[in-house]
Amino acid sequence: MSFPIRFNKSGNESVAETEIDRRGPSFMSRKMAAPVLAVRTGILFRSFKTFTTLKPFIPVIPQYGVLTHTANYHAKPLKLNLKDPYIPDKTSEKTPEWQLTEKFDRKRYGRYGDASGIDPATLWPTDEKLEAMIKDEAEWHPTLEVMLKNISLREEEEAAKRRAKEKLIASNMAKMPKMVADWRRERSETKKKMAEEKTRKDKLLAEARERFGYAVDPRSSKFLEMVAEVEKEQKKKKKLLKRRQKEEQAATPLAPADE
Amino acid sequence: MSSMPGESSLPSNLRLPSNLVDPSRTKRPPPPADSSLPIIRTCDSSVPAHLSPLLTWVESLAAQQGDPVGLAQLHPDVFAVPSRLDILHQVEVWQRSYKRISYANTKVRSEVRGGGRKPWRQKGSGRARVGSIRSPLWRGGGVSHGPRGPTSYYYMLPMKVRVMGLKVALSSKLAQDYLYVVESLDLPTPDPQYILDLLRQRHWGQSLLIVDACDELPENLLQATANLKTVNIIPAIGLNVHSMLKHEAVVLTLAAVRFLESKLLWHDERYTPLYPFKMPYSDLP
Amino acid sequence: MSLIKKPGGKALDVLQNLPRITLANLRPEPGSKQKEKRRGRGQYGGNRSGRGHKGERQRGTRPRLGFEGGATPFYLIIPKYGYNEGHSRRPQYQPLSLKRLQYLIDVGRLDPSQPIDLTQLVNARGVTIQPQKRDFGVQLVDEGAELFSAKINIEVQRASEAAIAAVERNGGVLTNSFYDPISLAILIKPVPFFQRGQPIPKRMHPGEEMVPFYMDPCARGYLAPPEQVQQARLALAKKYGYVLPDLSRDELFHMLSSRKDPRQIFFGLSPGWVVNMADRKILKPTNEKLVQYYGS
Repeated sequence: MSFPIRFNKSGNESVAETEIDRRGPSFMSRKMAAPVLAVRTGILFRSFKTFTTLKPFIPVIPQYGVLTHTANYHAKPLKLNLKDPYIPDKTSEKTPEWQLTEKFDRKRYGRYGDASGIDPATLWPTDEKLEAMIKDEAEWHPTLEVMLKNISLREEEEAAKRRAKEKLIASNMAKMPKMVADWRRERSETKKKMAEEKTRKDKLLAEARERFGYAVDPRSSKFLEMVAEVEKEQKKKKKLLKRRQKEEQAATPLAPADE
Repeated sequence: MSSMPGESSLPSNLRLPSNLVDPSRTKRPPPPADSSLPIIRTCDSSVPAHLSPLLTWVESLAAQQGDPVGLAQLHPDVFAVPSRLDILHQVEVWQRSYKRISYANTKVRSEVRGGGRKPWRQKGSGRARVGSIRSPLWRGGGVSHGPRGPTSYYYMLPMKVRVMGLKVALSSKLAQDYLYVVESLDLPTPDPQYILDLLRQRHWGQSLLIVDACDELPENLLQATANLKTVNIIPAIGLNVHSMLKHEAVVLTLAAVRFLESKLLWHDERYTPLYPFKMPYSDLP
Repeated sequence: MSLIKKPGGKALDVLQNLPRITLANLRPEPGSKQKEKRRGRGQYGGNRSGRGHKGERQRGTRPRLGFEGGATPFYLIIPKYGYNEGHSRRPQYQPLSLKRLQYLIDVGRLDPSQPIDLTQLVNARGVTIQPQKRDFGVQLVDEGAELFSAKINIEVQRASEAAIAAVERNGGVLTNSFYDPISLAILIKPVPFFQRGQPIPKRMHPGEEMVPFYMDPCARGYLAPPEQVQQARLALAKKYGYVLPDLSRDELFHMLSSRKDPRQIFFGLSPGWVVNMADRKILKPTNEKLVQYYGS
């Protein structure tokens, strides 16, 4: 420090250099000559803005707690958990709610043990809570046997479904050749029919061409009349054919029968 | 020093910076290997094979000008780590700012009382267009980019960085000959002048930081340092970089040395924490 | 090292002749403090303050990220697909390779003369389990199976076949057991749990989907009957072509055969007990209902 060391000027008496700690008694309170000089020094101190963070380790005085040596500013007390366990006052109104809960009690017991003053019997669930827990477990955590049963049921179902599906597929596969043949036959038949239709139409068109001398539109009425005529002639022919066949049939069995 | 009238030929209003290398401080050489004094303290933890423990003088505060009483071994991984001045700077800045809450707050234009009505119409009055009387351009208006509310400057440096900072501070104090190991803190008188004279006689410096690691301190020492500003006493758990740099000389008792070595060396070999170290661990000491 | 280094190096020697290190002498490492960008200052930085010339850029009215001027943006045009659907319901297992396990044993962080549990693995800082991130435990991966040569009784949550073979080839025992998330959180950090003052809960059974896995002797599930497990061990030895060592003749047989009860979380501690760490006591319930509940 470069500023003058003041204690030399005041001779033997040491200068009270620091503010009085209002919280508890300090060594300063004994020296009443201090305040007069403290004012002067106080001003000088504020201008220096010292940062001395000093907590001299002084014996604990039970009445007042730990004596803090005076510092140039009021330092906040260190929050060291070296003291006895804190036991909240359950009867007072000032204790916050969260310190009166069971959870806090359990935590205190877990941390301090018997010194926290809690009856360990309260750590386990009460009867009602226990029943609720058992109920929850029965609902949400089935036993191994139940689970195995469920699994086997599920597997059976799946197996049955799989088997049914396979059966269906097998039966359908067995049907396949016949269906294929059927389909092929139908296709060829339709093809034939189409071909027949085409030839018939062509013939009719050709006849119409012959009769009328020019290409007739198949949709016109002339063509349709002609078609009707042709059909009639064909029917007549058929009838005649049938009659002749019948006559022949009638004739031929008699003739060989006769002969 | 120059501030002592009549003791030197320099002018009285000359203020020399205190970090000048002071020739009046006799550079005390470290104890030689063949010293006759007994080794009072050896290192508790094992020293790595490629390093050797440091030897320092162990003094006594019983007489103002006393000879060293013995020798002490110091662990090199605590008292002779490479001097990382950047880590010292980081830790010092952290110590200052992590507790800082700046309460500066200014009102924004919406928070300043008034200013809801448009002062005059938009067009035709000949004056500049104005929306509210509390705009930042106006006298009495809000501040646009001022400090907003209590701001906290809290941050934590990694634990190992802070530990390293302590080690670097101790090592630099020892290297620059400002660290003294003392057997016990028993003083013959509760007179503060005794300590100051002791400091001057032994050329320890202007300010002294005494570190001890026991529950009870001798009454004499407490009384003597009670009124002194430059001589301060702290428990070993309160050791910090800022205090060490603020005081010129640092005095450790043997108990404090043991405590510091065990605590600071532990961090070199510990596992990462699964849960805070406050809770008990079975395998970590 | 034969050379004794001077502790602290030459820097401490140099310090002896330099001025005292004080609060006024400290400065940050050059280059560590980057100067903050301050917009709108100076001759060149002041005019438009780095915002560009006119338009949405300078006026700060640019549309939202992803907007493509009116065309359907990329993030909407791509159809949704359930890649990550139900990801938060999928159990995850932190991998542990045999190589790492061997390393931990060699270095001394794991003790092979005691059963190796997830607690031991986490205490040795071999794996990091986060039960809150859908981790259900640790899985043994067979990387390093050729290097592995330690006889251990290990309990994991999943293991590949080659890993099981590697463990059993060296005369060890592997078990796959299930821990529900609450039990897992207690298992990996026992001390914070004991500090809560709650009785140790029962370990729940796995869900229906996982029960077949944990009853499978080939997977060494903890619910599988021991005879089937022994047969599976022989089968695996035949498959991988090694001689299965006989454990009953082993001196560590008692340790190797110790397994946890399906409802037990810790070796030596039953569900329902309260551990008092401050007084080093264990409290057991005496109420019948409690005993019955915790024993079921």
